[in-house]
Amino acid sequence: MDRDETSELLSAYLDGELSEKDRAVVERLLAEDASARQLCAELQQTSQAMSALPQRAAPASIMEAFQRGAEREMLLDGPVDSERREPRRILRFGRLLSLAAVIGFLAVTSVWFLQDLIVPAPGEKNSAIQPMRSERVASAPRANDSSNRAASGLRSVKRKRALPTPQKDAGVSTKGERLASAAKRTPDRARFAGKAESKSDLDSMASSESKLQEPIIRDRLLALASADQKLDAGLAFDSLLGHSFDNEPIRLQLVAKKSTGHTVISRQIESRFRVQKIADLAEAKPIRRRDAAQGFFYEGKKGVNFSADHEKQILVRIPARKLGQFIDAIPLDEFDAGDVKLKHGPMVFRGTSAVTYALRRLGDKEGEAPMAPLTGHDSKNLQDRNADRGGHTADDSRTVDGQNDGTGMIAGLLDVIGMTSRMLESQVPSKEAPKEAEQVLADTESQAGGVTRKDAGPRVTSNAPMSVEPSTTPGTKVPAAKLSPALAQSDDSPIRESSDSVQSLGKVDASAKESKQAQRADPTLTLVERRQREVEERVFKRSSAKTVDQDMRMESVIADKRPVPGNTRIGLAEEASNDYITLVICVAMPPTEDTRDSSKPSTKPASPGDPPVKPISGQDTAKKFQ
Amino acid sequence: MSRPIRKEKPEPKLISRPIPLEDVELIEKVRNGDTDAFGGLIKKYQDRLFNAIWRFCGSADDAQDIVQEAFLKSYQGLAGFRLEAGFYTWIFRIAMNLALSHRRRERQNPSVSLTSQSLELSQGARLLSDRRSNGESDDAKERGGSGMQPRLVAALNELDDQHRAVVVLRDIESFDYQEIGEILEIPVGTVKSRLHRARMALRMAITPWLAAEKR
Repeated sequence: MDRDETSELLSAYLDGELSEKDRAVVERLLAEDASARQLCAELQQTSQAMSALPQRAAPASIMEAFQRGAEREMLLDGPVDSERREPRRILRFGRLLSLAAVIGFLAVTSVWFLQDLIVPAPGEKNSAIQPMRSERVASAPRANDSSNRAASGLRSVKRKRALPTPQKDAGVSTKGERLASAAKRTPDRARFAGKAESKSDLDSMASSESKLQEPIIRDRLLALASADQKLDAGLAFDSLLGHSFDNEPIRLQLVAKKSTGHTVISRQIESRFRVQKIADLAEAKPIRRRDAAQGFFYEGKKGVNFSADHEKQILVRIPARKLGQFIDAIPLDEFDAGDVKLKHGPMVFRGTSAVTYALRRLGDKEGEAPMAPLTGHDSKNLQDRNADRGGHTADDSRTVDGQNDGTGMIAGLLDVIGMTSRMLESQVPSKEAPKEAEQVLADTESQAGGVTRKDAGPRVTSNAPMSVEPSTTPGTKVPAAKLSPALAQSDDSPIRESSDSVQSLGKVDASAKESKQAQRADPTLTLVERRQREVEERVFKRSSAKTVDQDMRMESVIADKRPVPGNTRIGLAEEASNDYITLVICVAMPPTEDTRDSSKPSTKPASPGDPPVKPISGQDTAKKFQ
Repeated sequence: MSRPIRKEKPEPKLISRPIPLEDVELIEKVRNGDTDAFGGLIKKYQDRLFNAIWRFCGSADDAQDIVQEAFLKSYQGLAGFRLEAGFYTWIFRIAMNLALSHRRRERQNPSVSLTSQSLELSQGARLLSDRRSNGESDDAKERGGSGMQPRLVAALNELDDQHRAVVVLRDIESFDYQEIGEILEIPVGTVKSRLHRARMALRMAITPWLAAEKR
């Protein structure tokens, strides 16, 4: 060993990691060479200096982030199962793999069923096949996890080289032997081998076994679907109780007074935040670092991600804790307070003060921020609106005392109105809700006869979860028995109360009871049908085809559930850090002169038997609410 | 000539120090459904893990993200965790792999921090420059100060990932060579050579201070 090689052993010598032989060599070198001794001493000092570097305590948010992540994991995948033998992993492309696994499992299952139409006689040996079959039987998954089954099915598919070919009978085989042979072919059937009396029994058992897995697959798909997708699919609202809204964007809908309305917002964002302004969402790259450049903002283009003629979309993705700062930058005062709307999943907030409050609560991790007092402008708007309607003011200034039990934005939004996710699950009605529910019902009815704001902004379609109604096939009635117990209650439903009380912030209606009675006069109408009628009435009010087209296009924008291009990357980044909020600011342009003149309503009733629709005007609406 | 048989690389077993009984009890509780028990493990190891990853990454923010994710991954994979290996060694391995992956991605996708107050707008990829704001974060202050420690930290950050990992695992975490080899999946001989080279580089950076101490 030469001198240089021996020098390389100095660090190991200092750490006591040398063998007896090597240590002796090094000690001999140190005894003979002063420079080696000096080097050894300096290396030791360096090592000690490293050990003496100041240490930093872990931030408290690590525990909080873990709790959020664990709860989210439980919502999606269920609790940690101690009986599971295989570790659960979060795959970066978990959703895609899960779907692929489900498809693979279904394909394998169908192959097995087809395969069993031909049952070779027992005693026939096929060395190329039987080991694989026994291997499949041995590797039959025990857990009821559909993803595990699908994964094992995929592995079996990979090992399989060729379908077994039927061979000539070597001799007479008994029925039991044939059943036993068929049972060996599939792991599912192996379990039924001792119970089945005929091949048809085997088939039916295996079929029922696969049908049992369908709910598992369905539940898995439900966990992946967005809130709007679930409602569009006709699922009851209680399917959203366990839904996580973390990765769904929030829509802030504004109606500009001038054609440059969106530019004002864009400039404010650029002036207040150091963000990326990208030309295409394809440029957005997944960033995993906190406070990193995920604060880009992207100005949507018509025809690219939405089809509205007169709407501008600005997508902003910012850290949650900067949301309050961001809200201050948006000049909401320049928009009519009645036209400011915040929509997230089934929750809708209206009015500048309510929207601002909701956004601040979303951005506040502690969840304890008190509601900002109404500004003079907000108060005046509120009072003016109340004066027109002649009713009392809803309690906008109440603080939220509810606990923020759930994770995600939906819990935060529920927290705003003083309800918790646990209250939803326990279906305990709020004490203040019935009054607000009446107000909102009246508000809904009043809107059926007119508009409460400028009709230049996007409209909500029947598909949009504007109110908490179970989305069903249009025209069908939903029996109360099919609804969740919460929804089955007409006015005391806490779920309806949660959304309705949100919508009722700032809303007043002295004639709520009258409207409600009118609604009850026609009990044959379902909530979905009433919503449909509202949309149809608004469409019939437009006399010009162009306006109708615009309206339909606007509705298609709202109904368009296509994700923003590049959303996959955003989702990936959000998986890395749940501290970011995606905010889509939709600024509807004011109507042009042509469209304004042609927007006079018609008095044609929506359908026979309905009362004639009154002409729409702002003054009429104001009088209606007096 | 016949082809050499390619042997599959065996999964390295984490042979570590005896696992504390407290950890065993907490792990069993978590496996039995007590999620809160995992919080005990987090409280016990988060400081040490955070500190090590922070020294490796050079950024407290990155370290926080990595540690969070490491705990979450370990929680999800706890069912498959074998008690023969120490929990801390196991989670440290997870965290180190995450940190190494993060460093690779950083080199490919540089990012811009939002903590800086200065405004700078540019188009497209020019915005994505890897420029850290100096003097505005604790990390920058530590690197920018005078004295041996800032210089040592700066020299540590200048090492490549492989050498930095070894020196952090040894001098900060006090893992032995075998444990380091298992965590990083490298032979013990490689650990020796990398550690020596890393210390030599750090020594060069702080030689003036070493000479002063000698006097």
